[in-house]
Amino acid sequence: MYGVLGIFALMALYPLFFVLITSLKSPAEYVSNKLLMPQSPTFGNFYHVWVKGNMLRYFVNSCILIPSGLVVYLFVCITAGFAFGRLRFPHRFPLFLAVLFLMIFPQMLLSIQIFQICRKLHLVNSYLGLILVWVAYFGPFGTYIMTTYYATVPMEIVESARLDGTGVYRMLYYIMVPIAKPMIIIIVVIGTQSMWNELPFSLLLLQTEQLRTITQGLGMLQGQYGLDDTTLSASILSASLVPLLLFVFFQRQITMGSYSGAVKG
Amino acid sequence: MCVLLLLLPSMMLWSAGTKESGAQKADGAAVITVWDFKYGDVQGVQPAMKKIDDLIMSQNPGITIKHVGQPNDNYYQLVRAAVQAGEGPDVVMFHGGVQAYEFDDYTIAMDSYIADWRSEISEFSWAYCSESGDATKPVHMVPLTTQGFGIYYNKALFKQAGLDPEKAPADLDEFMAACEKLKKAGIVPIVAGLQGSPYTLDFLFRCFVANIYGDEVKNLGTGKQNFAGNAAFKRSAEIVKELFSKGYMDPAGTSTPYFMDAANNFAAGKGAMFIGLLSDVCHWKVFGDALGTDGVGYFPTINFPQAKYKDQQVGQPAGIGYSVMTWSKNPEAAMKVVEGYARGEGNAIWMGMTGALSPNKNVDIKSLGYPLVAEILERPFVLDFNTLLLNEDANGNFDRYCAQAFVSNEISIDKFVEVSQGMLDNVQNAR
Amino acid sequence: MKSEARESYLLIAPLMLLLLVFILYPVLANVYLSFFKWKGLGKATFIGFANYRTMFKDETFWVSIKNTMVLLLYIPLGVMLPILISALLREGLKGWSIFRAIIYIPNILGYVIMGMISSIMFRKLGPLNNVLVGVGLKSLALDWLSIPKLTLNTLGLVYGVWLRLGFGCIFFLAAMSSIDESLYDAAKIDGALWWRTFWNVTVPSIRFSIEFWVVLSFIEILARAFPFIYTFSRGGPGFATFTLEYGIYNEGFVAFNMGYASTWASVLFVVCAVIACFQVALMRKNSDVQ
Repeated sequence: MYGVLGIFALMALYPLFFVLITSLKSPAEYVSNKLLMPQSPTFGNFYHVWVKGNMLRYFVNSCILIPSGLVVYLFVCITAGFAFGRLRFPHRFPLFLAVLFLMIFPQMLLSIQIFQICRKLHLVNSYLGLILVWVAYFGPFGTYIMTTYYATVPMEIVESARLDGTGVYRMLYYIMVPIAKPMIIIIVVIGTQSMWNELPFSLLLLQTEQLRTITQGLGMLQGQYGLDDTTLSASILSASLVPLLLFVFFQRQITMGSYSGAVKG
Repeated sequence: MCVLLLLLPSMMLWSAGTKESGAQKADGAAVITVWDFKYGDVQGVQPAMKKIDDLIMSQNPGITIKHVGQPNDNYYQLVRAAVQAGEGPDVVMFHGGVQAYEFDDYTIAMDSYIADWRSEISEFSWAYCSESGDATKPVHMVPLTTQGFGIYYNKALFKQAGLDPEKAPADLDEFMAACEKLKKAGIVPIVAGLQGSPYTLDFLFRCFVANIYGDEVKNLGTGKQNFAGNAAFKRSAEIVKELFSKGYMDPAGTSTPYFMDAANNFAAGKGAMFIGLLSDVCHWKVFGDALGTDGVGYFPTINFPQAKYKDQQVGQPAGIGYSVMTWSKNPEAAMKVVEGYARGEGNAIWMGMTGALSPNKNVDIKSLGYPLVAEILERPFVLDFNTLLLNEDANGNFDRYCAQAFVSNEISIDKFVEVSQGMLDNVQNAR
Repeated sequence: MKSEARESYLLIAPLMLLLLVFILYPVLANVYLSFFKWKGLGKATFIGFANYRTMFKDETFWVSIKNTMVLLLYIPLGVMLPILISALLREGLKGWSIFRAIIYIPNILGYVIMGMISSIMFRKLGPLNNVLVGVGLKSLALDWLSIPKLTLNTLGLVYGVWLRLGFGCIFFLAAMSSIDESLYDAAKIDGALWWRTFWNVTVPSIRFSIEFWVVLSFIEILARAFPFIYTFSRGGPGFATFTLEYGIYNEGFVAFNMGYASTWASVLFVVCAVIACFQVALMRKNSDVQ
């Protein structure tokens, strides 16, 4: 039993390990030594990626873009999640189903049209445009999670707040948000992961050097002729830095949250 | 929470977007925006371009160049988007051929601007850069590179196998014999890049096709010549199959992507021959630097009996070039930028620093220090058939067919000929 | 409670508006575009059903359907494996939370990166084969990326099963954590072996979770696989890993036959819509959101 699990664990870790040792080899060394530990480790690849590849700029961009996106994302998911989960209004269920229905469509299907729309609304080359598209695309899943959570909040809390005469907005702000803190952390992490690694929409909508994200930077580095595996590995590690760190620190929350919606029946 | 809510509007304001249109500054200076899919190559191309931009700006004080690198993968998507918006960069880089012709309606005719220095580049190239490739129509693009394909060989390894390092194989029999000798000496005869898109095979076929059709290659685009029913074309496919069955193709080929691994392998001396390019990458400069300028030999193609022609050098009259878009507010300034790249000192920097093969006759090839390239350029070019195909065939499907026929042996040679003919039919149907 | 209704609509308005503009409209516009011929520049010409006729005659289309079907065949394994592992893990093995964390790592790196890594790992002379040869399994060290059937099945295994194993285990472990322990005690008293307990107690108790995971798997394979396939094998070798999603990309963003790409997209739309209906029916059946 431990054996099988051990093998799986190794299989999961090995790719990361391989990328790490490859990124430390110079291209010349890599030609002859593809699989073993680097004989003469070098940080040249990282230099290439960060200094020459303008990765720092892209990293900063991502660090600005993602939190801004998260603010909108949280706003939308929490409000809609609370409404679907705990409030009562006509057509609630059909509307909720519509949200789930629209969650399914792949980015490829949407890209061409989304670009046309953004162009007409002058949202190309602006973070606002990209954030709106991201929230539209990732929002349903976040809303779904918040909805299932809020659905478990006891009705009494809502009722007693109503008796007190609290309006919905105040109820939301002072009660609902604090209650859902663990869940919010979870969708923050999931949202960050999704947005950080997102590529097709960013490629379409962010067209200038000043605006690009780190994931786009990774794509740009590839150029017309691809990249040496060594430089590629260095860029992969650089781009995954933040998601990996997030994972290490928020491990408990992620693993807790990914099953909401599972605990039924 | 409040802090975040405050942050949001400021973000919105900050990222209100940037417009790409070339602007006119108050003092009458012009800002020329250039879009490029090469600029992102921070190692090889960007430094050269920065230098050339500085040179142009110092020679033309009224011009400021804003050079934007775009990702290669969705470059044409972005250009199309700019076209639809009716605004965008002044100067746009294009690949010569079909991809440029599609934008003919949106790029300016350049004949009046290039009149002074037109003779510096061959009419062969200018024709290709004209509207739809028609020499009677105006020129829409200034070529910055010509491209071509051929076979490099490692002289030292040839010698090691008992072959004359100064003598390239003259025909198919000699080629096969050379491979056999190399194999027996424990040397990989042909270093190949076959993972993903098997460019080694793609490029080899371009060399073969040049020998089969010679000057008549352009008729493949008009339907007067075909792959189907052409015994020589079928024979060339059989030859490729033989190269595999006899073990002359690098056994590590399927694990090696062509760009750049296979080229790196050849440069590191891991095999005797390599089907490479003439410009940009995987070429005389890279291999000359790695193996010594007198350590590399070259021959343009393999001669075989069924092919009507011999020793044809396959080439593209323009690999990449710059066009000026119709919406540009400063076409004269934009043309000055383009000219700065295409001729004179700028062009010399371009070729010297990036390994691009410039179509400009004034470039002093010899001063570069690579006798091989001078040798290569002595032969006239024959058009690369790939330039006649539709984009999806030229840049995707043909590689897939090669993989199916020769790497995974999924389709027969007859089927390969059939689908290759299909690509030519697509060109006819698209008219 | 009229004011509650009004306030509720206001609360869901941002989401609904975004969905309308950026998801619903594009999806419908695609269907509309499929009746035109358009190259992304200039005018679009109306050609009626011509695109559909071309598509149904297109060999590549049928190959892509076939490939997609093959990938779907990996769903059973992608469902069973995490359930099995979770059932074993819940016995309380030491260090299981670390294990759970480790196998989640591929998930974190994202599809693009995992695709790139996989395209290096599975080469004939790559790390995986190196390890196989090292442990004496030389005959298993095949050319994973050059033989069409192998590449397709590797894709199915890696993307359909392996990549989502981590998330799957976490998902099912949580689901199982809510199973009543008394059921297990009862089974023990009955003298049931592990396997029988598994089938008679564990699986039925998490039925909803299993159904949800199945739907999720369909969605992942039909509509989320592109980034991985693109970086892993570019739809190759040949057309071996060319799926419906890839076809849309190829026609729309390589060939720029926008109208034709929309035609393929309409087919994918129909398939997605069918899956969505299943998901929705599931929600209906099991929800306490009702």
